[in-house]
Amino acid sequence: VSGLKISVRSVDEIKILDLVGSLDTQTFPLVEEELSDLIAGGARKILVNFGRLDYISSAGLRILLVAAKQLHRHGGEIQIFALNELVREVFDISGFATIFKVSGTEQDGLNSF
Amino acid sequence: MTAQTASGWLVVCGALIVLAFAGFLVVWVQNRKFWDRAAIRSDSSGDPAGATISEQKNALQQASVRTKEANARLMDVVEHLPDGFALFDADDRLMISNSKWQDFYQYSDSDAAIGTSYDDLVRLDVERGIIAGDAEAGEEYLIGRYRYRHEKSGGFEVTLADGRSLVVRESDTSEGGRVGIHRDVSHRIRADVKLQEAYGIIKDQKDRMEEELNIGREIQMSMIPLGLPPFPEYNEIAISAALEPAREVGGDFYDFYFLDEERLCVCIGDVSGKGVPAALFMAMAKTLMKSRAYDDASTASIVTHVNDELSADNEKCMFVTIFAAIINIKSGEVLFTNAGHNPPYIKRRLGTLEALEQRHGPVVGVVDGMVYHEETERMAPGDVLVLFTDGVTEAMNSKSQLFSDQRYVKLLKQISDDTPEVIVANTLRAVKDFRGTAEQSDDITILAFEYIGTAATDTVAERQVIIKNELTDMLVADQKFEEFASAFDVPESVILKFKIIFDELLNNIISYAYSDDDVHDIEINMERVGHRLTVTVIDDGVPFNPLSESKPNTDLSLQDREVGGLGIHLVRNLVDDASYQRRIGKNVMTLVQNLD
Repeated sequence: VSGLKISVRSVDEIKILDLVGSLDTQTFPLVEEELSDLIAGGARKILVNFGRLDYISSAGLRILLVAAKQLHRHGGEIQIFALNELVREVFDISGFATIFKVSGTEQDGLNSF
Repeated sequence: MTAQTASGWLVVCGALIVLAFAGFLVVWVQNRKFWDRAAIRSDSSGDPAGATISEQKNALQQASVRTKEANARLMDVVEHLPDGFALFDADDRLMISNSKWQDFYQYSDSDAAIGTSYDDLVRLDVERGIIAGDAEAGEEYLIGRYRYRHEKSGGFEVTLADGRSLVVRESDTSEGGRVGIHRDVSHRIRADVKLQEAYGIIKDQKDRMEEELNIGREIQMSMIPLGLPPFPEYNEIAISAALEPAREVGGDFYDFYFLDEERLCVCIGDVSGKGVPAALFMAMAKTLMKSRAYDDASTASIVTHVNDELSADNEKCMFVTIFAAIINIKSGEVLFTNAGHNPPYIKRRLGTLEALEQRHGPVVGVVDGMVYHEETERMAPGDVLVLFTDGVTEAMNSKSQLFSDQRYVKLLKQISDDTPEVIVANTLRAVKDFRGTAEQSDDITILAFEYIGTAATDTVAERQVIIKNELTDMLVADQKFEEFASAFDVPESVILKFKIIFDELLNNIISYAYSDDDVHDIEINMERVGHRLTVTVIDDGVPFNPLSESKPNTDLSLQDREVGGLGIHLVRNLVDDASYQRRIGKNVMTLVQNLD
């Protein structure tokens, strides 16, 4: 079943985005809006949980890149953790593995800001 | 000028100079001795010889006359030399010259007065701008001129400001002087320049013709289907082919194309003659065949029509041999017509080789109104049809032996791996090895078609989904694919992979493929044969080959990365094989994934 559920948590000044489902043409506007709201609200450290993300297409990659560029301008950063095998492959093919800091677990992610 | 004539020139001039100079010296020296003697005699009184003063005077006068006469003859000879002449003594002072020499360097009589030094004359040349070139070139001339005079070998070339060209040859005299012959070679230089110009023109023409022939070759090669293997979405067949023209362009061709989902047209042809005329005739024949084949289910009828067309205005009486076949890829049935072409072979799966000897009419393009015939043959899975032109069997080695049908039959029987690629490669290699150092005399073309069919042991599953060009319909495609894939044991990871691919391709088609606002069908075919999953996505949008898009630079840093352009890159890299074909009015993307 396609679709995406998003929820946001805070650990100190870090915002954690939990994604459940798939990030593609159908669902990217939800994440785009959420990220843009967080950044507008002053968030500068965002950690995205891919642990329950089935797959990501180029539409999803695009909004991650846009958010990363925005945060970079404000001295902030977006990081990701818990990629499944397919998403890892997509990150490797697209070169995103080298421009995003990717951690295995949430704790590692929190520690790497 | 050849070395022989040059040395002849030297010998003649040298001899003449030496003679003239020797004559002059003899007369001059004798004269002096005579005077000396006379003086001695006149000083010694009471000479017992008893010659009278008047006798002596008389003898003196006669000698003087002879000297003047000899001098005049010498000057006359020098004056009438065909070349400029100048003789300098051991102190490099001018002794004798002629007016031709004066004229070359525009010396006045006083410039060229006897006793003028060589240095003064050469400097005059430069100061007056007699020598072609600017001041620096004048300096260069002086250096060159002195060096030549010092080395005293070969010749020295001088270009005068008035355009004339001289060759100066100098040699030493026995008295330590220097004699120079100045020859006007303007006509020869002009002839050389003209020759160079003519050569340049010929070379330009040749280069242009070569370039045009190369373009012709590219155009011709673009007319035949390259980029093999073709039709990756069809597991039932495999084709390989090669064409090697003997010259830049040639008269051979092959072609293959689907007439509909099941019928493949395959043909091969060989035009009489070679080069540009053959290439043009080949282009006509191939085009006519193809345009007729789409509306005509009969090879006999196709060839009959093409023959009528080509015969109509064929004043050069060129002709083409054609073998045309329409193959049903579901049943293996082959409908074929052979119009004067050498018989193809079918290599059966079990190893036997059969020649399709039947002929259905004469060569094409000569007699209009001919009616060609056709017949059918059946290919079983694993059979290979081998079409070729006589460039294969009539390839000649340096002993003028032919490769021959016998040799080719033997080769085909020996090949144990029957894939079309191997058959084509082995044929080309065998012909090349046989030919050795001999020149390729004819175009070489070979096409091998394997009928694979559908092996009974393979699990075969196929399903088709048609969606509309609306973004919401993409969910339907996902859902249908998931149903199909789950039912036929496609792993979950592959299903998710194809969800990404559908997201990229369908979004791209729906958003960008249509120039109108109409509703369009997008066709998705899914097929699993054995361990092979093949998905084709077909749309009737504007022609677009996504695989021709350049790869995005994935090595750039965050700041430099462009947002977008990643979709096709993902598609291409996520599956084992992605290919694109443009079919009549349709874009066909084929994706193949092996399931291990």
